[in-house]
Amino acid sequence: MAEGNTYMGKKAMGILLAVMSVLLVVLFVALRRFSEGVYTGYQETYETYDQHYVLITDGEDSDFWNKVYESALGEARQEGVYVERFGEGLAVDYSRNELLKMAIQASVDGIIVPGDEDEDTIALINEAVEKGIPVVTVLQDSTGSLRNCFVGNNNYNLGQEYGRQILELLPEDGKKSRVMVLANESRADTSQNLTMLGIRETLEQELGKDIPAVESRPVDNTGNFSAEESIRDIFLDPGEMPDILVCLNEVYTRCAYQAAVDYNQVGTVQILGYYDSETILNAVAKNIIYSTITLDAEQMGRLCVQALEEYRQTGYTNSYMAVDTRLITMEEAAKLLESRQRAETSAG
Amino acid sequence: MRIKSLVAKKWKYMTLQQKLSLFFMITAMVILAVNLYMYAVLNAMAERVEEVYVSNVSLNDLAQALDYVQDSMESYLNTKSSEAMEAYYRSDQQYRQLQERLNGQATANEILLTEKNIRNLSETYLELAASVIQAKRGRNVERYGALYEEARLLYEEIHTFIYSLNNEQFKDNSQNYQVLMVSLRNMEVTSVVILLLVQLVNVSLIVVSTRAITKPLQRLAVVADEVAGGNFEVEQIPVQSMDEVGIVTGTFNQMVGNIREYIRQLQQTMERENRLKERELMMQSHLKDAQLKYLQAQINPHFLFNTLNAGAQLAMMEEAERTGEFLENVAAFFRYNVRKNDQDATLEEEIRLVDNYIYILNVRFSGEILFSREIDEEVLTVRVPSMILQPLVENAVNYGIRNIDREGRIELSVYRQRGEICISVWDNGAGMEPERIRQVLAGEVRETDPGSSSNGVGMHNVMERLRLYFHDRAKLEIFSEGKDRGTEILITILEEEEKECTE
Repeated sequence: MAEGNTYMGKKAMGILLAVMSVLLVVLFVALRRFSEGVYTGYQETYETYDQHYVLITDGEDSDFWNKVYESALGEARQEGVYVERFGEGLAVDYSRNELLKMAIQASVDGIIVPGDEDEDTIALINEAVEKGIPVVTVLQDSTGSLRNCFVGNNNYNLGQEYGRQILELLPEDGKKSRVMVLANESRADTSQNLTMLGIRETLEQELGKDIPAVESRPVDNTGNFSAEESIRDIFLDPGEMPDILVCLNEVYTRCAYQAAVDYNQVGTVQILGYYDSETILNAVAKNIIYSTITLDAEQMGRLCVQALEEYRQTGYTNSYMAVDTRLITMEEAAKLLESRQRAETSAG
Repeated sequence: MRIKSLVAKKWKYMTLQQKLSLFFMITAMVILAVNLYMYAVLNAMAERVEEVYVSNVSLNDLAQALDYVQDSMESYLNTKSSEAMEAYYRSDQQYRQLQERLNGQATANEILLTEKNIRNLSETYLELAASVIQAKRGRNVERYGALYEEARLLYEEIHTFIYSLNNEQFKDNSQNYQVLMVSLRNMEVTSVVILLLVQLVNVSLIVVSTRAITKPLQRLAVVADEVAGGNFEVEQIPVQSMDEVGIVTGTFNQMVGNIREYIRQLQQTMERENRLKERELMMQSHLKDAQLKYLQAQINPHFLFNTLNAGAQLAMMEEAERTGEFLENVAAFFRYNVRKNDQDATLEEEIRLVDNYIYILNVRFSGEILFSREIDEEVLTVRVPSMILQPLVENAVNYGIRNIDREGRIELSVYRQRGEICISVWDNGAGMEPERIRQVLAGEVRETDPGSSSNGVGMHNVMERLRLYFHDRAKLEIFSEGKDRGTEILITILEEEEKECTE
């Protein structure tokens, strides 16, 4: 009996000790994991790349450029190249040209930058190319520079597309209507002029000499938020109010749309927009914006990297790569939104 | 399995001290080891925490070095002094060293990428600075002015980069710091839990081990208690280990066995002795029996009495009157003996027996004994145990007057005094020493040979029978004034007692 008891006691004790040891081991593993978690959390590992390209944009930090950048980065990574949005994380907001200069001084391996016809810009682009850094201008060209390639749409074609949309919107006696094109004041390039030309010629072709007044309205772009202010100014002055407002970039489109809603001018002013961000698509679907023309931003980013890679590998590249434009009307906007939501939910 | 049995064997032969020491050593070592381990882990983590902001510190160093380059360059441009020149070269060297530590590879990590940019920008800046110095030396004022402006711009830009990077890193480091802190806290909790658990394991280990050690002791105590209570029929306690308890247990088992064996032997011896004693007693009683039978066979009182009567008649017929009287007296004496041996009698009968006895003795010893008596007639009917007076008279004859040269006298007086009946036997014989009197009264002097000098009834016998008959209400005293001054034996009987007895 006594021996039976000791046997039982031993067995229970053994089980207890075993459980405790297992628990201890588990705890030690946890301890180990905690301490390891500290190390790995502290030191992440990063991929390294052979080449370092930069994308420089000016202050207008829009969806559009984000999309371009993402697609460029995606394309570049496949080639073993990293694309940086130069100047993005800096404490000081440098101008595009300053950033361009710094990129050159930082000896990057390739530059993607929206160009213009400004002398300084051209000089900097030339300096980069002379120092062996290939430069791709994107969206707007610097025609007089030594840039290796321009990736963008044909602005004349863009103007034609807008012209066709204006024609659809013009009433019978369209002659009295006013068309206003919001142009970037600070941008000394020919692209806006080409767009204007495209619009005018399209209207003339259709209407002969009796075309409505097509006015280019420079938007003050110098200070932060100044674009928004100058667009609102238009809505505040009844004398200036156009019948059709053409916006040549995404920010202007959004500003115009918001102003039209805020000042209760929806329907009075017909807006032709640019780009296909969700806000804009929503506005189109609700017919606040009549239609929008978008560039394929992904294609644009991809093409930029491809041009740089081509140049790096062969020493040559096309001097112009065309990006597709696309007109989005009310019906299409709804469809697009729907398909994007589906894509999001399936991705989510 | 082999190791286990080996350990078990080793364990079995350990002393208590070794066992306890081993246990406490093991538990202490476990706690020490766990503590050391945890201390090491925590220490490593603390070091990590210290390292977190190292990158910020090194960036600050870089910025300082950059300032130094710029300042020394400006100083040279201002003064063109050789000290400034020297300072410039030193700062250039210093900055280069720091700058080379920065990452130079394109990566997806923004911080590292910024480092690369700073590194390359610095390279350009240092070249520019060198050009500025060169131009200053060459006194090319226009050129060094322009170059200096460019260098200054770049210097500011690099500062911006460093500042931004510093911010980024600080954000990053703070995040890391948070992670570290959370981990530290988790680890602290885990450590405490581990310590508690280890403590628990240790406590249970100690409980188990001490129980393993004290269990045999407890068992031993229980059994010892039983044995102390007198139960030797206990089971043998199993000996599990060869430590002190094991040895004590073994010894205890042996001791209990020995005691049991000893008791068994003692019982056997006693039984044997008892048997022997019984046999001896039986033999004694048989002997007594035989003696008695023999004596009975020797003196059949009836036969003796009839014979003596026949002798008396014969003497009458032959007209030998004195012989006849003598024989009658002898016959009466024996008749009393036969009749009254174990009954009580009246005082008168007792006195008559004394008369017969004296008569016989006077015939035997030709009237040497002067016997006189003084009897109160009223007390003659008092009953007393038979055969108490004759032995006293016989004693007076045998020890008192037999060996004296003068005339021996014996006086018997029976009288009443202060409610007591007094029976006194007085002689003028040898007398007794007080010591002798004491011895006789205490019963220390016994008749060594019951069959020799009297008819078997001694002084002690008389006293015993008085005690039995009167329940201590009767008293026997001996008075003597010393050697050759005679002896008086006095029996006093309380009268009430006497009445009670007679009724």
